[in-house]
Amino acid sequence: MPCIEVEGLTHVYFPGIPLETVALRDIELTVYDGEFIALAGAAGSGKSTLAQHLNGLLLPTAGCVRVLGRDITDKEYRQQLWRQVGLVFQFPERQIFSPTVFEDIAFGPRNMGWDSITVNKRVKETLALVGLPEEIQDEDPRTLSGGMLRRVAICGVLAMRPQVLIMDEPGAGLEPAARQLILTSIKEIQSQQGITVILITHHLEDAAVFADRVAVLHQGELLSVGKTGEVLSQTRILHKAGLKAPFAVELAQRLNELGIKLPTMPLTVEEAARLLYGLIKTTGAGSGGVQ
Amino acid sequence: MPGQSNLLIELQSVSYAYPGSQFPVLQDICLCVGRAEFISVIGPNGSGKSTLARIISGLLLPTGGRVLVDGMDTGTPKTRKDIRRRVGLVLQNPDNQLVAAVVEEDVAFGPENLCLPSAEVRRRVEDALNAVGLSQVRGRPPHMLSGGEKQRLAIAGLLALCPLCVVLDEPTSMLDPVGRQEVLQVLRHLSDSGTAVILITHHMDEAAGADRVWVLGKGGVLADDEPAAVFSRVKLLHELGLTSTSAGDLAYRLSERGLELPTGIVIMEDMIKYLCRVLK
Ligand SMILES: Nc1ncnc2c1ncn2[C@@H]1O[C@H](COP(=O)(O)OP(=O)(O)OP(=O)(O)O)[C@@H](O)[C@H]1O
Ligand SMILES: Nc1ncnc2c1ncn2[C@@H]1O[C@H](COP(=O)(O)OP(=O)(O)OP(=O)(O)O)[C@@H](O)[C@H]1O
Ligand SMILES: [Mg+2]
Ligand SMILES: [Mg+2]
Repeated sequence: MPCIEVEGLTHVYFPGIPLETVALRDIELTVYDGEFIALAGAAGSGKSTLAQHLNGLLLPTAGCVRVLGRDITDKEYRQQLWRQVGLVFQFPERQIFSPTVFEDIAFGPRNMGWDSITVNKRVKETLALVGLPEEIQDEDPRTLSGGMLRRVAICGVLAMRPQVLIMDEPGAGLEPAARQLILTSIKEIQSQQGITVILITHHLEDAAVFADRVAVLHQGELLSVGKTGEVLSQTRILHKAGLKAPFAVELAQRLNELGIKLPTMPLTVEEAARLLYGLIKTTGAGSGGVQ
Repeated sequence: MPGQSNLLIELQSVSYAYPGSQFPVLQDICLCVGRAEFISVIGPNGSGKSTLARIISGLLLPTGGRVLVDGMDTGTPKTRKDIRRRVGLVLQNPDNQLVAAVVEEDVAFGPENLCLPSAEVRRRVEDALNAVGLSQVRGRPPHMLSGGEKQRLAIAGLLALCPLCVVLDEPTSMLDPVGRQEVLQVLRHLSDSGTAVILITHHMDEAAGADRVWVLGKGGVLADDEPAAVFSRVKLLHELGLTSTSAGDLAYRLSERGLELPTGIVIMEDMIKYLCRVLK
């Protein structure tokens, strides 16, 4: 079942004046119910612009976007959209105004109309999901470090339990352990509760571990979309888009040029370790692989 | 004695506690930065990296110890202006730093404040915009830039000041790999031509490109060493919620499986050399 259907979407900022920028051009993309899709592309390729169409913050200049079967230009529907579609902004710090961390995270859940017991419960749950201690609830967000504040902003969206979760560079500014924890938590929610996740990232190592499919934007156009393994091994396309293949893919290709062939293409460092270990243990088996 | 020794910045037993908090964020820190040295700073969220950046650039004064920049104490009110001239800082969130209504004016803001002749200001703006690849959007309002473009703009503003030391707080967190590499090249070039660079990052492969790495954690400096040494200490890094570089991580995973690898494999080239040796 399609969850999001983007048809012929074009978005132009400031049409008709000298500042005119075509940020998206004729995008066709279907995101299916319950999948984890990564949206990658260089700076300025249109990722954030696309994301903001998916929760109705921006409207198409041309083309159409349907979310959960309904057109986002329907004004009534658009006003309800935030209940189903959660968006973690690229600079979520800007969305933080409350005097305490608790108030900030509770804002969305309260708007959902949930009672205070439920709201408290959601706040606690999500703090654990992003690896923040419960005591942080009472602190003033302005005294938190950059990475802590980001985690609070991610909590604010997760606490509403959106059916569709869009995250714009959620890993930026996070220590490696927190980044891993948060994406792992979200992957678990996705596979257990069947939510749909759209992860916007430059960091294809994260896509390699977590995404079912990857879509690549380049200068406002959709350059490639497909299974994670397929897209991430097309290094030429990735380079054209200003991206870099994950370390494991690059290493495998360099080794291949040197005549060392791995039996399959590793996408993650762990896979590379497994394959290389096997190869080293049976040295001499360095030929006849698929590539 | 400004301009004399090879030592540019010195932190002498520096401690810092935010007003109203009895727990110091940084405690008894001793660090040095040489002229033209390229240092990267890593550490978990909340370990005090941004605080340290503000202390080094004189925006915050240590609550204990002292900071010397080019021989001048940042705590002396008289020297504040001289220190601003010598140390430039790019903040973690570029939005907090963009001041003007148009991209090129934003870059010109710093050098104009230094009261340079206007031809010199124009030249510096030109060079800085070219260096970060933003010449094409020079006429745009900064808030109409994408996230990564804003980060480059903040860096251009810093370059135009031509300081002796640049401190950058996660300047590449929103950049794509190509943009990231470009910024690193700009920084490497700066350091080669005599400017000290202090780069805060959560990206370990990036940190490994520096001459030296500081690891912050538990209120102090837990390591101050060459990248190959720091990124071989995988247990320490994991304890802190950090990782090694990609190549270092692979080396670690291979050694966990029982292989004996030489130490100090932290970049792809070293890994390839090792693999060629054992597999050919
Ligand atoms: N509010 C705006 N007004 C005008 N132009 C904009 C605006 N926001 C973005 N743009 C332009 O639209 C294009 C796409 O920007 P967008 O923010 O969608 O890119 P992105 O892929 O999210 O980039 P990044 O990775 O740097 O965040 C860029 O050329 C950008 O300069
Ligand atoms: N204005 C402030 N008032 C009080 N405490 C603060 C303030 N700014 C930061 N802190 C606290 O100081 C500690 C260090 O923060 P700092 O921002 O230096 O960390 P960081 O290493 O830069 O982290 P990150 O990787 O998340 O950016 C944190 O515990 C933070 O909550
Ligand atoms: Mg963006
Ligand atoms: Mg910080």
